[in-house]
Amino acid sequence: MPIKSYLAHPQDGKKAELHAALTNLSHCEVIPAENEDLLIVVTDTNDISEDKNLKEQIESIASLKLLAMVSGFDTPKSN
Amino acid sequence: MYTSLTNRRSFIKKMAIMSAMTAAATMFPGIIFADEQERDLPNGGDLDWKKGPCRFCGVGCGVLIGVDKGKAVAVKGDPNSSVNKGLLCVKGYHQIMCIQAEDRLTHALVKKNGKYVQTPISEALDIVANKMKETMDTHGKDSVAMYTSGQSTIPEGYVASKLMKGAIGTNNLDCNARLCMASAVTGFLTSFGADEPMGCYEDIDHADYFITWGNNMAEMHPVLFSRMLEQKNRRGAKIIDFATRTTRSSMASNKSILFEPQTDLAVANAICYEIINNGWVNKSFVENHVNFNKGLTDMGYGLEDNYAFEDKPTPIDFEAYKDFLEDYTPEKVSKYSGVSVKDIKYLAEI
Repeated sequence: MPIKSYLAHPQDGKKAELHAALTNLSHCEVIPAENEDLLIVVTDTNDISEDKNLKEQIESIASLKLLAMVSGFDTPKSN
Repeated sequence: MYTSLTNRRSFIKKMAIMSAMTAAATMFPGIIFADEQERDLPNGGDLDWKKGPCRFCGVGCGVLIGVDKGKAVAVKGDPNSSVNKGLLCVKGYHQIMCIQAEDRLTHALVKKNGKYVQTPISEALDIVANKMKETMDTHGKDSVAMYTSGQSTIPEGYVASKLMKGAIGTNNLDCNARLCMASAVTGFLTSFGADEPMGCYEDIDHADYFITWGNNMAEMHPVLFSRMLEQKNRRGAKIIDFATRTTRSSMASNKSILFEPQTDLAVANAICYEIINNGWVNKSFVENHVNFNKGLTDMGYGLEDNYAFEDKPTPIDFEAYKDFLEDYTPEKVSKYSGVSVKDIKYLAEI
């Protein structure tokens, strides 16, 4: 049951657009920085396949410049 | 104490957020996230904090380990450490996971009848000492060796050196750093004449430009990188990331220049071409401190098994070096390196 955190860098001037696009995705929590063009993305999925699909969806967002993974955990599904 | 999976999963999720915030803070000092996002993050609790060194890389950060009932449960940067000044990177913050890892060796194992058997440490050490003594008595002091770790602390390295060189009397002391640093030593000796990385922390405080040449410092050495970012923010020093791919270092830099793999030496030559042809050479420095040697420009794949390196450097003079660089004009190099002529000239102008 993967939990991963990423730093998402938006294309120039596209932070709000990227925030909105990420917020629309399920299993995806977004924490935008208040004073920098950077967002933290935390994904919480049920299995590796779902995790992979979600990452592909995030990477296909046009307003995303770079997605850099910071940490990844594999933990049992919650009760 | 029982921890429900819900709580555990929630805790891990918060750890993931903390890791990302830490990584972001080392790239963008002073970065702020909304307060409500930090609410409910785990706090330090009533822990006993012990000093220690971080062993993940060569930067040498000081850490404080939070101990609860004799068990290490938390890590934070030591604010009194002159190296990291309280900062830590993601690797440092996750050290507890290594200490508590299920597959970590926590007791001595001695192979008996083909199987590893748990053995008291004093007994295991006696076996090692007796075997070493037996071997030395039969074959001499150079018949034994100690292979240690690049992650050893300075005191541990000192003790190992005292034991092997001082007490036993052999130079057979080595560590895994040989595998990564041996090539660097050769490079330092042939390029700078001394086996030490050039520069020090104080240089960072005075530099106007930093070029991270094939070096993703934001992820590999974030605490050291934070010193450069501090100078960028405080004095307007410039960071140029020169690499084969876009990384967090590229994002934190003033300028990112990408090159095709295995072409950066040609770019270096093109930079030299520009410097010489624009009359920017420090002639006094070159005359007093630089030797020019020519070798093969294509030596094949030197890392293959049983490779016989036959190339011998031939001394040349500055004029011959200048002629050699005619093959490395910015226009020629740009075609295969992927670096624009404008960017090569920009690097040369620094």
